[in-house]
Amino acid sequence: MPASDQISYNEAAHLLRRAGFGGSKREARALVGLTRSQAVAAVLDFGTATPARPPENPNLSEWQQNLAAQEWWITEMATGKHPLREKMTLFWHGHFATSWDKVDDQKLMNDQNHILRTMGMGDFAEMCKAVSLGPAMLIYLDNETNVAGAEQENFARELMELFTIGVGNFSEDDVIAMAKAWTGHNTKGFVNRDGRWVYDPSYVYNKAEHDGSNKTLWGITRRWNGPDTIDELVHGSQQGLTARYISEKLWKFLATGTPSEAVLKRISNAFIASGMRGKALVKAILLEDDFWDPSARYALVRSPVEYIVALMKVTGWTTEDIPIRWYMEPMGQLLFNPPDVAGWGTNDYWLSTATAWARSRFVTEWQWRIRNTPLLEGVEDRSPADAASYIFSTFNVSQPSAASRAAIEAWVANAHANNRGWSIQPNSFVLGALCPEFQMA
Amino acid sequence: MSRNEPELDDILRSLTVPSIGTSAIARRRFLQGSLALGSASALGPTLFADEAAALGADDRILVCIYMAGGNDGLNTIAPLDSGTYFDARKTLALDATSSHKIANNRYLHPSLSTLADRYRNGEVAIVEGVGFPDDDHSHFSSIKTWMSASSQHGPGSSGWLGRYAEDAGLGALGSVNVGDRGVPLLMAGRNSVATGLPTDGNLFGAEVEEAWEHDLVNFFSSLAKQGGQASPMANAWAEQLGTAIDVASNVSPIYDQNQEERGLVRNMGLAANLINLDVGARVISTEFRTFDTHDDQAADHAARLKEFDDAVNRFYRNLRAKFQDRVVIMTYSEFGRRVAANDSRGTDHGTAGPMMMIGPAVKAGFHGSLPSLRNLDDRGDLKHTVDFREVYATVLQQWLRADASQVLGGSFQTLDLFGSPGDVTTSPINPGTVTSLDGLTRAGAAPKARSPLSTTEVVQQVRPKLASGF
Repeated sequence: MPASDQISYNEAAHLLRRAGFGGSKREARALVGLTRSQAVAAVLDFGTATPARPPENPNLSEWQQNLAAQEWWITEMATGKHPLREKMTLFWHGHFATSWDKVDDQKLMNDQNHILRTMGMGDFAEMCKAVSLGPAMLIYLDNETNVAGAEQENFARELMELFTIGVGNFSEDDVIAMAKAWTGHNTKGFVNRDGRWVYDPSYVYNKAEHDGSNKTLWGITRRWNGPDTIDELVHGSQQGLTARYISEKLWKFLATGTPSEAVLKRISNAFIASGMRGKALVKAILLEDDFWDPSARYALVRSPVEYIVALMKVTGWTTEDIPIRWYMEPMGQLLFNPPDVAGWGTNDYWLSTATAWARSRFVTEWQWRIRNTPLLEGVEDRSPADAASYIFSTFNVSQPSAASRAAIEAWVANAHANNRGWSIQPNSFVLGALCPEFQMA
Repeated sequence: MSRNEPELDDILRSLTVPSIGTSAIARRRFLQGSLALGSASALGPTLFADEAAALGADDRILVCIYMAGGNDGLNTIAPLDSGTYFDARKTLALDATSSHKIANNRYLHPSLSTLADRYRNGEVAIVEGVGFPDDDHSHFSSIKTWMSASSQHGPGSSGWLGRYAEDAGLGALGSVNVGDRGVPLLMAGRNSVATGLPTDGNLFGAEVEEAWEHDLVNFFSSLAKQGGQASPMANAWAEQLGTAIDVASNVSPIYDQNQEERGLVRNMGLAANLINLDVGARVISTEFRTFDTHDDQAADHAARLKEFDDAVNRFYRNLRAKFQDRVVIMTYSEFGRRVAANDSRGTDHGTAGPMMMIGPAVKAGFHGSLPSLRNLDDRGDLKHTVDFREVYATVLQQWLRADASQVLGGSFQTLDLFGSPGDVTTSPINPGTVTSLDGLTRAGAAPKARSPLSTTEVVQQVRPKLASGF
């Protein structure tokens, strides 16, 4: 094995920022010296234990259950053993964007979340079917009311446009045929129980409401029926389009920018060769040279969730210590509440004055909490150069820019010159948390 | 569990732009690739200073108020001389003696007392019967239609004022949403988003008093100017925080007054203060809720309209005289309510409704025409007489002096809603445009109101989620 293939500390830190939410120094050191493929295998090893589910407490209101699930998930990201699994669950949540706002039943959202967590690294078609027939999606994109003779096109369109082949790769006739194919795949809806009409959200195949006629999709005429369109999209004639669409989207989420044509070809071919398994695609992305290129480091803006989780890891703060949930909406990313069916964007999507204010506000409102804690303790007793190193190290920034380092040193020297040593520890926290390096993955 | 229509608040939240408050110019320059590594030094706060241009001689300002939830137009500007109205509205019908008669068969809701005065001063134009074809009665899709004014949907969809702001090259403070819930689709352009100003201030970079606070804020301002960060995107982040700090210090005076006020009154006070700063604000949006009055409507609706009346008052009390005839306030809502009241002393989702344009520069009076209260569609709703895009085209062309067809992606008829700025119209009421409502009066032999529940509606009540979508 060539020594150059053994990853350095900075490369390990990069991998942990992308394949998770940023690693501690100990976690990074554990990867140093492994080859790229060994390190990638390590972050992809999720063990064999069945993942936990968001907790459910029927005594809580819907709203409280939603908050509890948000907090559970964010805690799982920050403290769970498999950050890449949670990051991929977050990716699939944005991909199959479904909002509690509309579904209005956190139990159904939790069911979908569990599908994403347990099936996300397997056959994409199987996950896509499970999500599509899950009540959360049936309600969110209205297929619950899609019946023969009164087709509802919402789900049919998004299945192609957003979940598989992407815009421009299907016709309006395909949408009409797809809607017909999905007729009858509904929820049970209102049922009479002991004289009361109650809504039963569970999936049902209403054969009588299904349009069993021949339909033409992508020029293929047959009696298309719901899930078998997904087989065609993922494993059949549309496979190449689906593989490219998902591969490019995941590259933008885990790596950076738009992939080169050569990269896109390689990673989508690896996806296809694996039988469209998520794990193979993640692995292919993490093994690309472009992923490891030094120019890729600190090149992706952390989404609000990634940012908060990274801060939780640095500080050890829990959702019980800090009402983190109240800060997520101003920052623009509420778990289980994506803005619309297109989910969240990446990178420059998160650049805005209001999100900058929201992050600043969180940091400055809680900066005083670190006084009398070990975090950055004694930073005021260090020289400006040592203090800067201490701050970057605390925030796991292994390669600060010269500009940031010089600015922090000057700031520390100035605070000492003005006899404001008392302010250095709490304000160092603000510098570290808001510096550009810590905003980036 | 029982299923209900999704909560309006939740729907509106899901229609806000997550990338709340992007500095339009920073985003645009970034997309153009001019933020190459190390080149950001020329941007940042100095850039903002260029943007904070005072209002030019020909510039006009539009303030949009979204009445969220579907305002009951028929009880806002009520045809109280119509027997059909009373038959349909039953106990919800307004009382003519406490309402404000402003024209033949047109009465403003009792809560709108100062608006009535403004009307009589020639400062209110009312466009009646505004809607669009095939309204599906869903908050979700209807407001998306109103905000986007575009047939394009799905990822990357934009709002008509967002597109306008982009085409006009408005800077960070040119296009602003006042509110705490993110920027609505209305204000999202193709590649940029309006600045989102929270209502409580407390912005990082504002109200900096102590020396240590100055040093902290200056730290990030200087990083923004320097560039040299670890990646172009890291430079862009540094610049974004620098812009936020700069905007914060520029706008912080708007939070100094009327701090005890809440809701739309506060938001409109802030909007006026922002205009007074003269830092280039040209399009401002805000919203208040909720007009989704399915049950026991009377008290709620009266309270909302009182809040609206107070808010317009607050706005003009704060607004400096030199801006008074440069501003028009426009209201809109996703739909009106059904003509017939329901069995819960409320009204269900309807279709067409009135839009109000307020300001000395408007051609006051009634425009468009009130749809017939008898010739309804098969759900029992009004048939719109004016397409909402005709109003937008008019505002874009006659008020904002923009290319309406470029913003709206098509040509639409315009109405005659504006005089020249400064040309205060005082006797504009045009009774000729007031529809006579089939000549019916309260004393007349009113026909029986149609059954309040059509078959479609019954189906909707059983499966309330029929009408929605993206």
